[in-house]
Amino acid sequence: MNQINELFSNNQVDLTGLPDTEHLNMIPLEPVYKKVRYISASIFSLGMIVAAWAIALTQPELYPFGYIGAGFISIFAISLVLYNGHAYHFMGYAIREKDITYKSGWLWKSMVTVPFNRVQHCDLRQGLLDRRFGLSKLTIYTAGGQSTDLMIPGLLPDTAEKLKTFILASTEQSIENE
Amino acid sequence: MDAHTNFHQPQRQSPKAVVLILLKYFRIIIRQMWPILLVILINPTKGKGFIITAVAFGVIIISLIYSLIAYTKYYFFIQNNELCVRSGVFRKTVLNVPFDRIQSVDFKRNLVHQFLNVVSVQIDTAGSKGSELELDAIELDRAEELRNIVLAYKHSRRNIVTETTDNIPPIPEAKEVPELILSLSPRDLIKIGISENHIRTAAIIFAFFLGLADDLDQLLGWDVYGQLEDTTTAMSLFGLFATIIAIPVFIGVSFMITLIRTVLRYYGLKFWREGKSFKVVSGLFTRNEKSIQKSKIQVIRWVTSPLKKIFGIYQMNIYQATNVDQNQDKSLVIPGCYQEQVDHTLDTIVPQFRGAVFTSHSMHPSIVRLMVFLFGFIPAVLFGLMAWFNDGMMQWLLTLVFPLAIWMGKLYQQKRRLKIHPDFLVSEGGIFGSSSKLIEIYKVQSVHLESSPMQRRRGLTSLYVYTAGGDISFPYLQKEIAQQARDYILYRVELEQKSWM
Repeated sequence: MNQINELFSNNQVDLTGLPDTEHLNMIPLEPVYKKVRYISASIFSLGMIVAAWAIALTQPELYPFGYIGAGFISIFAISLVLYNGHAYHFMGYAIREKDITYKSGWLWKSMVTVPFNRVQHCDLRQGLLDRRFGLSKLTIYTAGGQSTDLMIPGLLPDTAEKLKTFILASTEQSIENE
Repeated sequence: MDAHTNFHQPQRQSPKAVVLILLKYFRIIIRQMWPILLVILINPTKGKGFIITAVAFGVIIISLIYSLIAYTKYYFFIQNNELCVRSGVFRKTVLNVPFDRIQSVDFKRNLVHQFLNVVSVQIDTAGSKGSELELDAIELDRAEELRNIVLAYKHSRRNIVTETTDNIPPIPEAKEVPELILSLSPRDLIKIGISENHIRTAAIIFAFFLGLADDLDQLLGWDVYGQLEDTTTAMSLFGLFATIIAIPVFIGVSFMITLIRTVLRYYGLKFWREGKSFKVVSGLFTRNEKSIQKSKIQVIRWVTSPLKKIFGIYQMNIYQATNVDQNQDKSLVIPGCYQEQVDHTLDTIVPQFRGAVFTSHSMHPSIVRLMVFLFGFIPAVLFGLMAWFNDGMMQWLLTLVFPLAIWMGKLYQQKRRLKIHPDFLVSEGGIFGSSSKLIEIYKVQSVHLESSPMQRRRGLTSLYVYTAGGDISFPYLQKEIAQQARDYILYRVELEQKSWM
């Protein structure tokens, strides 16, 4: 098969006829994950706001710049929470026969695709908040290093487990074909 | 190799290893304690200095005994196609490295190794951190035997997957005659040394002196920074003269250091092709040997700078699949070679590449605006404010980064190209020089597309293509082209039957 492919097949590839990755039907993440995003962003932002106001209030010599600065930081922190929560609507994943795609980002959009025959291993993880809301994170590792790992948060544990089994089975199959 | 060593027997390293283990400990101790030693030398206070010296001697004697015991407790052997190492003075550790996981077996010899006629063997594995192995010193022929066993095993695994090789390692095959691709003459070396990046060396020296100043400040209370500040803020005639003299001296010193460093590192560099792998041997005092199997090569890069262009030389890097977390440089570096050697290497690794016809795509001009803003406008404003407040004439000159950024940004945009071929992907660039980076599409691991609101308004997208040995990133590409490239790369990778390494 391999040999024949290399020697004789040289069909022209119709670029417009290639499987389209851009307009896949994305499966959204669990709705409860939106809440998790709001909560985790709020915890972080709250810490930022408290620290900023603590400095502004305890250092009178900074007046009025301390208040202005703390005000700006508060606005930034609140918009961070809103951005993080709203970004939920732009997250999703799609599985095709031969690869998996994950899309995220509201203003700064990103889309990652990993072919199954390049997957090294997968793992499932649960953070503290995830456990509270019954969610799991699936990470798919390739040999391309950290920047190429594909991480899907906000999955139900058994969906995540099923996904993992499916990906590993597809990976094994594609490697056996080689 | 007349008498074959039986590697199934647990065996020690060469007795000469004791010397090297000891030196290793010394080096670690000295590296840790050099500021203290410096203080003892410069500032020998009565009594106190004696105690410190006694402690230092104690440490040295203990490490001597320790390294002797460590040597006698260190065994290595082969078992079930695994390389095993048993070691540990107080706590026994056993490390098993399956041959399958071994990526490369490299030899390294520094001056001491050369003197004692032994090599250190470095075994690199594809795995988690800390699983790589180093044998400090074994005799060259024993090391070569060991390497041949590992390579022969890997070779046989590749050909006969079904046949299980049990305990018996296959007999090493007759090696192909190695082909010498490049051998650097002293003249080449001088050319390379002259055309290296001197600004980088200057920065390193500068950083080193800053670090030294910091240490001296902490240990002896010499206020180096304060003194420096005094000389620089007082814009006296003397200060001006000092600066005018210091700059050429500084440049001269960094020039000499680069030259010496180049000679030390690349002296007698030889670039070989040995059957299915490439090998680079170089170094004056420390002979380094690095090799890469052809199938593991992921990225090839060749670069030239304006200075290098005058001599017609290129620097070539060959990157292999590596564990990125290890943060180790596992690439083959050929610091200087001519066009014909670049071509020859490319022809051996990727035979179809040089005849290939590419479609070429450039970066959208709006990237210049972003670059000028980030690297020109913002720094210029900051420098301007600094000059305004300090009232420093010289500091106003720094705002020249703004026009410089416009010029360099334009050059960058004009020279950046993404070239696509059914089998290859090439990224070209370089502001004053030129650089090319080549990957084979079937070796790609994953593809990312990213876009900012600004990019989307202009219908642009950034394309990132990752392999196991490096990536090609190309921002500000037309959206349709980026998407088509992504779809095509995925199609090729998913269709491909060949293993990526």
